[in-house]
Amino acid sequence: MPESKTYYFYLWQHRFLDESDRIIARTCFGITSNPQHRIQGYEGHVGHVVRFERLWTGPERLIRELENRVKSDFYDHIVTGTNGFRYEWIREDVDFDSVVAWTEWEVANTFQGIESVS
Amino acid sequence: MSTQTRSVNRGANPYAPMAKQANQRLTPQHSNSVYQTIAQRAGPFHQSDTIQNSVKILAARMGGEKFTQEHFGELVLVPISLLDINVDIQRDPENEHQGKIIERFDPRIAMPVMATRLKNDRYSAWEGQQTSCVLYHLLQAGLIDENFLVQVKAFDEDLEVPGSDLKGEAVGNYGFRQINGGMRKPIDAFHLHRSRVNGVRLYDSDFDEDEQSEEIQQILEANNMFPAKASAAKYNQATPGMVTYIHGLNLIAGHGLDMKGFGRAKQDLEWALRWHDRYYPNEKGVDGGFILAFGRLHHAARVSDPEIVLDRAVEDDLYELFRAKYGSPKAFHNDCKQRLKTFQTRNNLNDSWSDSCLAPILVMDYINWGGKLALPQVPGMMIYAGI
Repeated sequence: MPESKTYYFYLWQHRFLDESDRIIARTCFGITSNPQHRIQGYEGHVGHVVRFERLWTGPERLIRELENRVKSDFYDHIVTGTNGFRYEWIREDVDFDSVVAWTEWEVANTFQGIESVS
Repeated sequence: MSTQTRSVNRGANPYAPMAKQANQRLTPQHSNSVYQTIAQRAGPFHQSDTIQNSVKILAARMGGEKFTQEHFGELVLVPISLLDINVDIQRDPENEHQGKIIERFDPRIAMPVMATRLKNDRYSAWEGQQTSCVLYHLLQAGLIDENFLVQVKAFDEDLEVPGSDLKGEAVGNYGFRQINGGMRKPIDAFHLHRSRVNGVRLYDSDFDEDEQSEEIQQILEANNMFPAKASAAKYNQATPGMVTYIHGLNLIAGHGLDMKGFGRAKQDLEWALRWHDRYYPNEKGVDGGFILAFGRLHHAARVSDPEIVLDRAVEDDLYELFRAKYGSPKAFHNDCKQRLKTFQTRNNLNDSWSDSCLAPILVMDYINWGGKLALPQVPGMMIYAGI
């Protein structure tokens, strides 16, 4: 099997005001081969500095599988947009710490080739 | 970078939002999703063997005939003075039961009385005696308008229907035991719990029984657990956080006590479930015997004089005991069953399970294991000594 590229799985939180002026905090997740480039992409969209609060690295295959598991396990909690498109955001009914704990557990119990960067 | 082999035999991730999803399903968030037509509800089962076999049996009994509207009798409004109770069919009037109905009486949930219309134009009530008596008490007390008429579902005593030789009071005699026995299935603990929780969450109920169940539900949610039907855990289908022993939750939390007593007893449940969530979050289901044992242990500690506090050091020690002796809460329960059985066989006693041995065995095992921290005396330690 050919060697896999180094990839990253990241988690960060974004807070915004909903229509009732409540503060909503949602978890964004994703994978990239270049975290800095991806951060700049987010900053361009949201208009403020973004920091990946948690970052893991490992072979692309494992990182992609980890992301697939997030999408599967949190399927009912993924943010759905205007046309029913499911985005890589987890709704506020699952708190950020739970997603981090979930990921740490997966990494510890399944993905031996992935390690935490921050 | 090379990839390493990963294990796939690892159990469920305890942090997956499974419990959250199950708890969300307990209380629907959108009222438009709670209604199904009868066709939607019954349709999927219509072709099942169970339904089709039963339909065949009934059809054979009816000999090719059909039930008509008349066969169902009619709904009529009747002065209460025209109601008679056939004392050969009905059970005794139950004063206490009627008192409870009166306390919670709501005319919208009063059921029609089932009756046979006799040839003398009086109505023999063969089902709904307690309701009829309650209506009488309320009329006498002036809590119901004096012109009130009782809703009665009645059929004439000479009415015959396909597939039955019964007529008149014989139908009442048959209906009495069918409605009160075989045909009416008691609500299982899960659906009763759900009804009570949603009584508060959806319908603003302030009945103690509903508020207590809602608080029990909060305790489950705080510990990443969710209630489920007993059938959900069959065939090794239990998942982390699943609790099917709802009766045990209610028992330990003091459901049914006054609110003050409940407020104290629910601490026992909180402690037991928190311990499970801390040390065994990945167990497939929360064992019912564990809930009883730990709940009773905490109760005994709480009512000890002076009170014994089961602090973090005790919790850690109990976890070490479990690691050393049992392996898991379920294994502890199974071990107790096996030891009680052996004890009964050895002493020529009848072989029967009693969950009252759980907490005593837990405490005695802790002491024999070498535990040094203070645990309370629990009821039954003398009975089950040496088990």
